[in-house]
Parts: sequence; C-alpha cells; structure tokens
Amino acid sequence: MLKLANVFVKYGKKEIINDVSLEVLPGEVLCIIGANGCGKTTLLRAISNFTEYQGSIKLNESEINRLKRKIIGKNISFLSQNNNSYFAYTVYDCVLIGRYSFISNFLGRYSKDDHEKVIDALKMVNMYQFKDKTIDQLSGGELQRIYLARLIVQQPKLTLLDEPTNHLDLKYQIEILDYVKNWTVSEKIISVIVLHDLNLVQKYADKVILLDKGKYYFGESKDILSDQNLVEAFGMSVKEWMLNCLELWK
Amino acid sequence: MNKKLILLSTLFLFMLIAVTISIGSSNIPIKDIVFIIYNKIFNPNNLENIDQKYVVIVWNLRLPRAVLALLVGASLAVSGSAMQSILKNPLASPYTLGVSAGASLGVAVVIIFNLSIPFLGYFTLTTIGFLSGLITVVAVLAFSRAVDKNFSNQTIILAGVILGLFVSAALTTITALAQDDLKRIILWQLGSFSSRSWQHVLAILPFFIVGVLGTIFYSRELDSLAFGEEQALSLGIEVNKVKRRLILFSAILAGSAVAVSGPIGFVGLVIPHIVRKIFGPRHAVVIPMAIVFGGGFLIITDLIARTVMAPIELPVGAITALIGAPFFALIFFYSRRK
Repeated sequence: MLKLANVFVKYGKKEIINDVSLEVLPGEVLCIIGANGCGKTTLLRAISNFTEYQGSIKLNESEINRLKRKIIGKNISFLSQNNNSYFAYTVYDCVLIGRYSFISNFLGRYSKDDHEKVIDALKMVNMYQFKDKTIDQLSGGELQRIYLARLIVQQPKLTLLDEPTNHLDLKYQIEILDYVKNWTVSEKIISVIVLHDLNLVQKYADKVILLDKGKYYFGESKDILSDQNLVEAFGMSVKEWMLNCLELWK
Repeated sequence: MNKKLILLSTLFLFMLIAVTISIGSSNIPIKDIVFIIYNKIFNPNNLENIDQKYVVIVWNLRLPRAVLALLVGASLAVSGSAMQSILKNPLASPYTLGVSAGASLGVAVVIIFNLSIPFLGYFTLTTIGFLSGLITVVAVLAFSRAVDKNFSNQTIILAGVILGLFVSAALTTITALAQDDLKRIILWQLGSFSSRSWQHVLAILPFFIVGVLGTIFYSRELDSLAFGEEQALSLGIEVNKVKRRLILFSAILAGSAVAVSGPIGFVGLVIPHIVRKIFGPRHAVVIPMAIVFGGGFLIITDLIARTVMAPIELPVGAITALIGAPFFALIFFYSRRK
C-alpha cells in the first residue's frame, strides 16, 4: 500500500504541495491531474524521493526517505518526461539497464536471470522482434514501450509515470495505458500516473488526486471528476466541452 | 563482429607504435625496433651488436614520446567519453569544466615568476599545471553545489564555462604583461610532445591508471546517466555521489594529460563519438576502445606534426583539429547519407 500522510513539499520558500494525504492499494491506478504548474510532477518526484518532503510517504510501511537509493531502485520505478539519450543504445541494452539495482557481484555482470527478465518484458510489450535495433531507429510510441519494459524489469511494487502519453498519437496512448493497466492488475503493483487528458483519466484511473492551487481533492475517480471540481481547478466546464465535442462526432 | 574489430584495432595500435618509432630524421627498420625494445626489457647484455645510436633514438627518444602520446590521447578520450555521458551533452569535452584553462594559468605563473619547487625541479611545471587544473574543477563542483542543491548539469556546465572564461581572462592579462615569457607561455599552450622523456611517462602513468580504472568501474552508471539523472536515480544510483566521483576521475585524467603535454584539443571531444559510432554506446566497451583510438589518433597526429615540415615541428594541438575535423565531418555526413 502507498500511504501519504500530511505531505508538504517546498521549492525554495514556495509551498508546492500542501498537506496532502492519500492511500492507494496494490492493483490500483492513481492519476494525478490539475492545471499546469500545480505540482503534479513535484508530487511524483516526492514519492520517489527525488525531492525532499515533510510528512510521511510510506510504501508498505517503509518511509521512503529513510530507504537507500538501491532499495528504492528495487521497489519504485519511475518514467520521467525527459529520458532520451543522445547515444544509440540497442533496445536490449536500454532495457537491461533497468536491472541495475539487482546486480550483486563485484564485477557488475548481469546474471542469466537478468537477461531472462529483459526478454520477458520485451515480449510483454510486444517489442522482442526489435531487440537488436538501436533506439534512434524507433518511433515515439515504440520508444515509450521500450521504456515501459525497463520499468517492468525493475520488478517494482510501485511505478510512477510522468505524462507517459505525451507526443503519442491516440492509438499509442491507449496502447501504453493498456499495458500499464494490465501490468498493474496482473502483478498487483501500484501505478501513479500524471495525465493531462481527462478522457484517459476517466478510462484508466481507479483513484484520482486533483491538485488545485494549494488545495486538493482525492478519492475514487468518479467522485473526483465531478463537474464542480473540474470547473474550480481548470476554470472551465470540462464536462460541457467534452459533451459538445462528442456531439460533433455524431 | 565487435570482438574481431576490438582485436584488430588493438593490433593496429601496436603496429602504429612500431611505425611511428621507425620514421624520423633517421629511419630505423621495424625489425631492429622490436629487437631493441625486447632486449632492453629482458636482456640488456644482448644489445652490444647493434648501433648504439639506434638504441638511444628508439629507447630514449621515440619510444617514450610514442608512449606518452598514447597515454595522453587515451586519457583525453576516456575523460571526454565520461564527461559527455555524465553531463548528458554530446558537446562536452575533458576541458568543459576548466581543466585546461586552470592548468594554463598555473603554468603561465610558473614561467613568468620562474618558480621552481625543491625536489620537483624540472617537474614544477607539470605538477603545478596538474594541481591548478584540478583545483579549477573542484572549484566548479563546489560552486555548483553551493548554488544548486540538485547539482544539475546545466549549473555544472555554466559554472565551468564561467570559471573557465574568468581564468582565461586572468591568463590573457598576465600574458600581455609578461612580454619576455610570451613565447614560452604560448608554445606550452599549443601542446607538444617534443623532448618528452620516460620521466613524463612515469609522471602521468599513476593518474592514468587511477582515472581509467575508476571510470571503468562506473561504466554501468555511465550508461544509466546517458538517459538522464532522473532515470539514473530511479534505477537506484546515488547520482550526485557517482557524478562527483566520475568528474574527479575525468579531471585527474585530463589534468595529468594537460600537465605533461599542454592542452591538446579535439581528441577528447571527437574520439568518443567515433568509438560509439563503431562499437555502440555501452561504456564497458567505449572506455577501453577510447584508450585504443584516442592513443592511436595522437600517435598518428604527433608523427605528422614532427615529420611533415621536418626539421620544424608543428604543434600537435593544431594538427589534431586540422586532420580530425575533416575526418570527423566525413564519417558523420557519410553515415547520415546512407
């Protein structure tokens, strides 16, 4: 279980996250939503202890900021928005890097088990046939599947994804989130995803936290995505706009 | 395929060393070179049958020069490979954080004030050059940490550029004031292997070993850092600690190279790219191959620098870019057209 209790995050003197508490159970997807600059990524970074926080963030009873980096690496995987490389690694090597914290021998060689995990993960995201290609030969959607495979080989209990569907066309957006959702349910992990597209949130979130100028709303997704909350957070009637768009499709 | 290429390029490097020793004001057959080196090491008494002039040229002049060129080229290429990955910037080089600017300033001060530290004697220049280069990098790191708790790459690069410019300006100022020493200061800054001896080889060797082994030890971390710090952190790497150590290893390599030869550009920037292009970007392969290619490249350029206008020696620092830039452009634009 992921449990946040009275979490504050400051950036300089500015308070970005203000007294947030929430709980997510294994097998659930939590989506973080809110207007630009409301602290979505900051909250995600605090959960992975990239950013200092006050209060308590516990994953299965362990306080995150007391864990060693290597232990965090075995329990929490993180897909950031900026993870491209200038160097043309092969798909296989790119995923193998995800096994870093599992290396135990002094020489730092990856074990047979590490290689098996990589092959399984590549098959899971349907990218095994690309394993010898270099990452600069892939499309955005294929690349994102490779990064997802890297998250999978980390065998985390909690995975954090910062806008994983950015710059992808609709088919790939759905594909990526389908993979994440299936993985979350089948392995009983917890997924926390920052998403902008509220349609995708409706479809994939079990729970939602809506951040809004120092306040927040947290709960089951159907309760949080009420028109009243969204008007307050985004300054417009999201529901009305969505329904108007739907009319156009008819 | 990769293994064969690694073996071939390493063999080629040994051939290069033999060829570069053989060519010069008096040409020496490679057979004799092998004979002299073998017997110098294993059987010194066996050298009486050979022309002693050859022995001196091979053992005291050309071999140490070739070995030094190898070590300097290797140091710069390894340092550059690491820097580009740590700073996640393909334009980073061993000098990005001010090593060469700092070393140049230190050396200029030694020359102008005619300093000589007891025990070090002739090596005062080398030692001060190394230390002032290293101090500059440590200052850049300390400054970056003080102003930016996250120790981000932008901060480090900016701090390196700013401090580097400041130190260079100080160097220009004191150079302008020291008319008498102008020639020596500028000659040093051009970079050269002329009249270098085994002592120089011994001076750089320990730093080379420490720097290279340290960098190889962190080759998996370098792979992760190439995907950005957040990725590296989330994989379980103590990014700030690893980054600080790697930058120090890089600075030791670059600092000792600059100290013995003067600042030689281009090698540290371009060789890593060429190596990655041929062998792929995994650092477990890139670092050893940077030794082979960086070393080989400087051996060739030094050979050209000392023979093409003989008896005048051209500064090797200029030759590296004169040959390297077109070669680099060719490789990259050719591979892009394919």
